[in-house]
Amino acid sequence: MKVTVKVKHLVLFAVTVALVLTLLQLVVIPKVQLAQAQRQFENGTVGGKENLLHLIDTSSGDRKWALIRENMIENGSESIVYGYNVFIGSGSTQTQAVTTKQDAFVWSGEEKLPRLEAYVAGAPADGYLVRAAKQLALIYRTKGQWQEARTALELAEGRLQPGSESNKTALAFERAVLLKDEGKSQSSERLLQELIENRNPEDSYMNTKIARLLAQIWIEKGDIKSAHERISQELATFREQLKKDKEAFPEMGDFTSEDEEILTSMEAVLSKALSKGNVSPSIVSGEVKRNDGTPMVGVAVYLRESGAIYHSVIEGEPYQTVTDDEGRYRFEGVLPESYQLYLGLTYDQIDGWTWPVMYDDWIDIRGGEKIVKDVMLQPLIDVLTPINQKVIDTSAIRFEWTPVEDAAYYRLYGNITIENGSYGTLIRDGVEESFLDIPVDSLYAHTQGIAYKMVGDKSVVDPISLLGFANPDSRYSWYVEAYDAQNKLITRSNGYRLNEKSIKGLPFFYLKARTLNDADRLLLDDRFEEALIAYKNSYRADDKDSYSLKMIINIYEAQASMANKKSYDSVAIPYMERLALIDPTSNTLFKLFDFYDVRKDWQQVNKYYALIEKSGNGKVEPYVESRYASSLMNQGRLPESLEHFENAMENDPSHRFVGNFLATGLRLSGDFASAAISASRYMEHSPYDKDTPDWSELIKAMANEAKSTHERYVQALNQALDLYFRGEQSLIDDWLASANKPAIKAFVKALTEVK
Amino acid sequence: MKSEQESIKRLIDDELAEMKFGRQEDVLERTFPRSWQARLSALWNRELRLPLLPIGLSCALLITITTAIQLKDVPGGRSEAPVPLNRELIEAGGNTYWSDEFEKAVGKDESNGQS
Repeated sequence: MKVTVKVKHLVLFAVTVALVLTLLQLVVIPKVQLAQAQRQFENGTVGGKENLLHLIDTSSGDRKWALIRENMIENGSESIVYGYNVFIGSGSTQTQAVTTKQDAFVWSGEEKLPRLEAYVAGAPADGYLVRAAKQLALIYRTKGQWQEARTALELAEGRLQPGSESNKTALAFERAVLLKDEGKSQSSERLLQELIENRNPEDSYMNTKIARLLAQIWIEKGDIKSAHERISQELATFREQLKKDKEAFPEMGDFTSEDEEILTSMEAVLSKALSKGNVSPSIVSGEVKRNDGTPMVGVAVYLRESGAIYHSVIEGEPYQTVTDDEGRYRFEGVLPESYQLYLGLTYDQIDGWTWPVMYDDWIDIRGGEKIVKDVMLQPLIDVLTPINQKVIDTSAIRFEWTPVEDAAYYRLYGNITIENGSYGTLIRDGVEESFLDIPVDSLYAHTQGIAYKMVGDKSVVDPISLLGFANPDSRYSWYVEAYDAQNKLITRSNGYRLNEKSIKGLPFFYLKARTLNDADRLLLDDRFEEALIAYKNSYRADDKDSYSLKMIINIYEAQASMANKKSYDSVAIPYMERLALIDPTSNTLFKLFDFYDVRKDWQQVNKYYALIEKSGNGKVEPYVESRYASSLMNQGRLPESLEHFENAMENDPSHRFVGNFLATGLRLSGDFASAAISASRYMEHSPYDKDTPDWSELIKAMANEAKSTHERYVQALNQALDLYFRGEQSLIDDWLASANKPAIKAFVKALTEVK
Repeated sequence: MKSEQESIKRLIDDELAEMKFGRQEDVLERTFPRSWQARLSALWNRELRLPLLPIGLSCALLITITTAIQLKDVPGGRSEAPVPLNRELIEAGGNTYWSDEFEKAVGKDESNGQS
């Protein structure tokens, strides 16, 4: 088919086609792209993210700003705290979502940087501009580009209209923070003084921040007195303002603010430092690296004082920083206190790795020190067998994992799944090889903790937890920790495994060498009494049945626990003693030690401690050794007690028995000076208990009180200590009521809390 | 005959006596164009006989390709393994996993059969 057409009509047609194509290019296709991006965004795919970036880059004007605002700034973070997923410290690991919106994208610094730069330079000057500038400055700061960070803040500050003073102050304050962190304290102080001159008295949030930063600068300079004055004054003003607010708005009730908490704790630390006289601040610094020496750049580091670690990492952490491009961090102006180091990491940084920080890993600052605390992340140990839900129906089981260089021994743990999660139990300590063969029977007879479950509104012992490893229907898991010869944790097998590479073998297995018996089924029906009788019958029929013996003890233990008794009924003891004969693990032996210690049956106490020592080849947990040292103290065998305390103090970083150690030492020597040295060396740490005694202060007070009448004073102290050693609470109470030496009274009172 | 023809001619001549042909130049210009306007106009009005099918097809093809290229430029348009954004972390066996990765690993494991 042919058509006759004039040239002019052909040209007209071509022009129309071109117009249509242009229209398609400029209007229709972007619309389709947007719809496509949005669809992928809603479906939550990574493609949606790249799509969105493409859209942002290809659009312009208001549309571009809106896209950046809605997708980047709104969910972005202006503080060091909110950009990280995982916070790891000595006692805890905490995970948080990086964005507030659940389905929002998580952008990397590289993705955000050019877009935020464009935003700060060109977008409308409003609150979002302030946020964009702060986020941009944080990205630059993380990269160690201080100048660029400050320039971004200045640019935004300059673009703000007159009248938005609080926003301008917020940006200037961020600049002051950057100046201080970069080490330009003088410039930072000047800027802060300017801000104070123009301050808005009603903006207590900003004023508190300014005061804290200024105080921190003064502390670094060593001017603790001015810092204390400033903080005390700010705290008073803050409380007054809060009182006014509460009067005006009674619905605030007993509202407490994070700022007040930080100011209060800062005030306490400062006044403590002041009371110690001329204390110069310390420096804590170090490097964060992987075990192959690669520096970890952009990791958040927090130094948290013992009174503050009970809560999660907050925005107003007094000591917070980000590692530089060589993985280094540094805190100046650190006041005397006990601290713990915390890290903020992204999922990418922690995936497949672990920071082998141990419980009770304290940094004790006494004043004027330069402490270097390096952090080295280690790759996770890979578990080799049993993995991937392997079913064990043989009489022995082999646990095997990849060996760790420099490991002196390993600790093998099992996880028992219960109704509301799972709990770990130590299967074997001191494993020297990277594998362990255990008879399945010994797992069946393994004693572990007790877990509770809810039945209606009552919480009762979960019988599954009593069965332990003896439940053929339960899926178990395991993990292993590697220690060096100094008992320091090197690495572990449990941690963040967030991609196919790091997941490797799943550490799950089933134990199906036995089936449930009638007694077990009674127990699983929560019929504890009937189950107890059934287990006793089995044990009577076969006195080698260690499993039934364990279950008898477990049920007694559960019953004591449900009745809120601290120790078992003596009916359980004969069974326990028989189990100790068949399977002398330190766990069972310590329970017997504890039972007799509470009853002051010293002969049995000493016997079981000797057995504990034997079962661990001479190695005893510091807590158990401290308990034995305390028992020797109660027995009046002070020189032996002192020896065990000295050993335990070295191995137990919490130093929770330091009071008893000092009391024993003082009773033997009457020497306050050496007691003061020990008290300062072994600071007690119990972060969740706000009234941890300051033993140094207590000793110092006694030494002061003793001055003129040293001999008579020591006699009085000895009498009081002898009463304490005998452990009769009523006698101690009588003495406390009548005694007239306040420092001794305070010391003895603190001793009665040692546990 | 002749007189009949002649009379008709006369009649015509009479009827057309009022009409005059005065655009000889225009006609000559069009037939043998000499000025550039005339040439352009000739080109503008030139008639072409075109095969409808191939041309229509190629036009359609052009539009399709252009559109396809445009949409392909959008990176998300490529076929990538989608990674869910709203993932959940779960703790299992002492480890922390993404729930989807974990389920995938457990599933793979179970399809391999338990050893």
